[in-house]
Amino acid sequence: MTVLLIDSLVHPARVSRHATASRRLRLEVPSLRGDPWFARRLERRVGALPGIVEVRADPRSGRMLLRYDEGAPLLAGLREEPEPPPTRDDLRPTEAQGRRAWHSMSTDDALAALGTSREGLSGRDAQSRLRRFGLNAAESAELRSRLSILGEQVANVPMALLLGSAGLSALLKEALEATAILAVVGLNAAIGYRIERKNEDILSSWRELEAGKVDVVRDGSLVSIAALELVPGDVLVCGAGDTVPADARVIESRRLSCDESALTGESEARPKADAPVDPDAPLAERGSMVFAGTTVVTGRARAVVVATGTATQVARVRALVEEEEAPRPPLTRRLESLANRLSVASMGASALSAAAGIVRGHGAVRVVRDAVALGVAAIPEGLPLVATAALVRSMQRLQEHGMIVRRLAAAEALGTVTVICADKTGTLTRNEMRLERLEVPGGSVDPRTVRADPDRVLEDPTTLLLAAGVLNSEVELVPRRGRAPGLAGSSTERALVEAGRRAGLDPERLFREFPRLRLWERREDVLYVMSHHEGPTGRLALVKGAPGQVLDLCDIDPQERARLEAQNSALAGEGLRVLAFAWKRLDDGGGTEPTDGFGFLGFAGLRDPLREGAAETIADARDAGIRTVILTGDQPRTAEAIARELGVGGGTLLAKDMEELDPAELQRRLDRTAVLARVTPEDKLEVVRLLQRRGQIVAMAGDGINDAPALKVADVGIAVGANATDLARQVSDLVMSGEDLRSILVAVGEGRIVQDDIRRSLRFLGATNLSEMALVVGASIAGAPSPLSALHLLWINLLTDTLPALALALEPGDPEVLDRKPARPDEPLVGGPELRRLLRDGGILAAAGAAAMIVGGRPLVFAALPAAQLGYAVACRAPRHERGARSSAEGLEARAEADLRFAGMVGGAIGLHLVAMTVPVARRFLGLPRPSPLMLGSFAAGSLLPWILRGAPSVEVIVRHGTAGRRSLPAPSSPA
Amino acid sequence: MKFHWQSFLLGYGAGAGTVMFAKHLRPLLLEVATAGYRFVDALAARAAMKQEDLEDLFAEARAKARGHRGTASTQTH
Repeated sequence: MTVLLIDSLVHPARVSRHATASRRLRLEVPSLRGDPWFARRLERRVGALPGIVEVRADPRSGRMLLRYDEGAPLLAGLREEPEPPPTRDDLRPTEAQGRRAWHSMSTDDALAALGTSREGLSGRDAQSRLRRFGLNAAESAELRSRLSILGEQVANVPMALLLGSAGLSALLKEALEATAILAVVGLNAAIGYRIERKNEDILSSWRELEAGKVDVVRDGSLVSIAALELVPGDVLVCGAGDTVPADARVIESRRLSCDESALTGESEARPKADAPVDPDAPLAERGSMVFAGTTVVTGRARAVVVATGTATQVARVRALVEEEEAPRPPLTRRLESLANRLSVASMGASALSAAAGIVRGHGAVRVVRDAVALGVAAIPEGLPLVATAALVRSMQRLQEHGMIVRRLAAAEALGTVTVICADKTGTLTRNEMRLERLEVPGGSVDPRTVRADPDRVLEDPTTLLLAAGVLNSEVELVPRRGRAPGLAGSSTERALVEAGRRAGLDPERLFREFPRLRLWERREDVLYVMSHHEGPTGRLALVKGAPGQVLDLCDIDPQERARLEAQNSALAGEGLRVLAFAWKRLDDGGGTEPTDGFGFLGFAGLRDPLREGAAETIADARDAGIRTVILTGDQPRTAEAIARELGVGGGTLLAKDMEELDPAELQRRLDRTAVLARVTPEDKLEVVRLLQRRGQIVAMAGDGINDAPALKVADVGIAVGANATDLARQVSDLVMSGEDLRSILVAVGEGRIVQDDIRRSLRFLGATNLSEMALVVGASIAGAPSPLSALHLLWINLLTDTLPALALALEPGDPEVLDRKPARPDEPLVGGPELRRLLRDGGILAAAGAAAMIVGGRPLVFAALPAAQLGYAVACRAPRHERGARSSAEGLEARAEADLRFAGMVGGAIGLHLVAMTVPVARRFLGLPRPSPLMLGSFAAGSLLPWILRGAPSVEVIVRHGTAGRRSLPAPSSPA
Repeated sequence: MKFHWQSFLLGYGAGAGTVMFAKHLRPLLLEVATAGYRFVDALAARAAMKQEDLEDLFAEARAKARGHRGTASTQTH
C-alpha cells in the first residue's frame, strides 16, 4: 500500500494506473475526495519533488495524476503493476486482530503479539495505532431515514397504479383529476409517514450516547482517556462497576468477575483470571478475556486490549443483525398479494374496456379516459388509510399498556403469532437475585418482614445470619455518572446486603463494629467464602457457601446433619439457589483458616424472580393457542427450573445437540422442545429460522445484545423492559417500556382485533369497488357511455373508502378474541364464504347502479350508488356481541362509543355527498346538474338497499338447499 | 377588483399549511437535498474518472505510437 506523508499526516493511497511508456502515474487518494484545498496543497508539495513534471489532483474523482521525468528518484522503485484493491484485512485491520485465539495465549505471548508491555504503549505509538485502527466505536444500527419511510408509503402496486392514472389524466389534460388522484396519494403517504416517523423519534430519544472515560497505562503511568481512543495494545485498568470498553486479555486480576448476560445470556457473573483457557472454549467460558459491553461485577484487573470497534464480539453480533433482513409482516404480504391481484384485475378490465371501445370505433382519448376511470374504480384508494388507521388505533392502545410500536404492520402481525421464543435472563426474569427464604434453627423466616436487632448481633441467630450476609460480602458502593451511587458486586451478594438493609441493618455500622481482618475467597475446591472479623468480645469467623462444604465445617450430629441436608434438598428442589451460613469464635487470633468447630446459622434461599405477569402470560398464551419456547445461554438446570415455575411443558435441548442432529430430526425435536439451553446469538437466530420454516409465525422476546439477531429475523421482535439494550430496541418491532409481560398478550389480542377490523373493511371496500368496476366495464361492453366519470369515481371512492371504511376499521374488538386459535398464516384476507358474500353484494350494488343509469342517467347513478354503498357499511358491522362485552359496564360503554362513532362517520359521509349534490360550487366541480326530486329520491332509496341486503339469503344456501327447508341465516357481517 | 374567495382560501391554506408543517417538513427536505447532493457528487466523480481514463488512454497510445521506451501498463478495474 502506498502512503503520502503530508504535514505529518498519513494519507493512504493506491496506485490506480501506472504507464511507464508515457511516464504517468495515477494515484487514488480517498482523503482527496471533496477537498479542493487538500488538492491544491498536494499539487504544491508533490510538484516540488525532484523528477516530477506535472501534478494534477482532482477533488471530484479523488485521484491524482503525476507525470515524471525519466529516472525520477522517487518513483524509480515503484513497480509498474498497479496495486490490487485493498482486502478486507487491509481495510479493517482490527478484525484480523479480533479473530486470534487470545484467550489461549499466555499473558507474555499476548503482550508480545500486540507489540506492547505491562507498562502500556507510548503516546506516539498509541496515536499511530489510532490512525491505523480507527476509533473504538461500533457502528450502531441506524434508525430508518425519513426518505426511506416516505418511500415505503408509496413504493407499492396500488400507489403505482394511482400515480399511473394521475399521469394518464395529466396527458389527457384532465388537470383536476390528476390533481385529485395525486392529493389522495399524498394524503396516504403523509399519514403513514407521520405515524412511523413519530415512533422513530420516540425510540431515538432512548439511545444513550456513551462517550465515557477509561483508565489505561501509557508510558508507565495511569492516565484517563476517552473510550473512543482505545487501541489494541493499550493496557486497560478496570474495577467493580465499570463497563468494559473493548475486548481485552486479562494480564493481572484480583477477585475479578464480570456480568456477561447481555452478550452470552449467562445470568451469573463469570470469574476471570489471567490463566489461559482451552483454545476451543466457547465465548461464555473464556475466563481469560473480558468483552466490550459487559460489566465488571467484583474485583479489579489490568487487561491488554486485543480488539476495538468493529472487531469486538459485540460488533460481531451487530454485524449478524445487519446481515439479516427483517421479514415482511404477514399483513403487508397479504395486502401486497391482494393489491397485486386487484391491479391485474384492473388492467384486465381496462384492456377489456379498451378492446370493446376500439371495436365500437371509439376515439383514442375516450378509450384512455375509460381506462383511467377503471384504474381509479378498481383500486380502493382508502385501503392504505384504513389499514393504517386500524394499526394506529391498535398502536395507541398498545402505548397505553407500555408498548411502543416501531413498525406499524407489526401491530397486526402479533395477531397471527403461533410461537413465542423468549429469552430467560432479563426477559422472563428480572436478572436480579432476591432473597426468598431464610431457614434458621428456630424455623422459617420471611425475609420481607423480618426485623433484625442491630444491638444484639451475636445474640440473635437471625440477626447474625443477616449480618454475616453483609460482612462476608464484597459489595461496594460505586459512583455512577448521572445516577445515584449503586451497589457493585455479584448479584447474590447484592441480594444479601439488600436483605440485611431491609431488615434494619446498617452495613457501615456493621463494618465499624466488626472490622474485617481477612477474607478467603471461593476457590476451585473450596466452595465457600470465609471472613475473619474483630468483634466487641473477640475475634470471629463467618462463612457462607455451598451447603455440603459448610456443614462439613460445623459440629453437628449425624441426625441433625441429615435433617439439614434434607432441608437443603427441599429448597433446591424449589429452584432456589441455596447458601449455608456458619460462624465461630476464634481463640487463636484468626491467622489461619479453621476447618471445624463452626456453629450452623441457617440457609438462605435466593432466586432471580420472574417478571411480573410472566406465568400468567405463558398460561394465557397457551389458551390462545400459542406455544412458548425458552431460549437461554444459561445452564439447563436453571432454565428447566424456570420452565417448571412458568408451567411451560416440553423437553430440553442443548445448543451442542442442535449441531449433532440432522435437520429433519432437529425440526421434529423442536416441535416438542420447551427449553433451549447454552445457546449463542447464532443459535437463537437459527431456532427462529427453523420454526419459521415449519410455517410458524414467531414472536421473539428479548432484551440483550445476544438477542438482537433473533429479534430482527423473527416475524415480531419485542424488546422487553426498561433496561433492554439499545441494539435490542433498535432492531425490534415493538418495545416494551414497562416491566409487565402481560402486555405481550394484550398486544396479541390487539393484533387479532386489527385483523378482524381490516377483514371487515376489506369486505366493504371490495364490494363497493367491485360494483363500480362492474358498472364501468358493463357499460363499456354494452357500448353505453360510462355511467361515472373518473372524477365521480374518485369522489365516491374517497367518500366511501374513508369515513365508513374507517368506522369499520375502528370497531372495538371481540373481548374473547384470545379464546380462539390464531389465524393460519396463509389464510387469505378475504376468502371462501366471505368472498362469495362480497361478490354477491357487489353484484347487487352494481345492479342498483345500472338501474339508476337506465332511469335517469349519470346524475341518478351519482346519487343512488354512493347512498347504497354508505348504507352497505351498516351491513358490514360486527355482530352486537362482538362489539364489547355483553354485560359489563365497560363493554356497554365501548359499544355505545362505537355506535356513536359509526353513526357520526357514516352520517358525515352522507352529509358530504349531499353537499356535493346540492352546493353549486361542488356541482360545477363535479359536472352535475341542479338536484331533482328524482335524484334526491334515488339517494334515499339507495340508502335503504342494504337493509334489503341484510335479509338476502347467502348464495351458499340457495345453491345447496333450494327453496325448501332453508335454515336461518346469519347476519352477513361476521369475519371468517 | 372582485374578491375571489376561492383563491384567497387557497393562498391562506397554503401559507398556514407551510407554517404548520415546516417543522416536520424541514428534516425531510434536508434529507432529500442531502441525497440530491450526494447523487450529483457521485455523478460528477464518475464523469471525472471517465475523463481521466480517456486522457490516460490517449497519452499511452501517443507514447506507444511515438516509440517511447517502456512496456504497456496494466489497468486496474
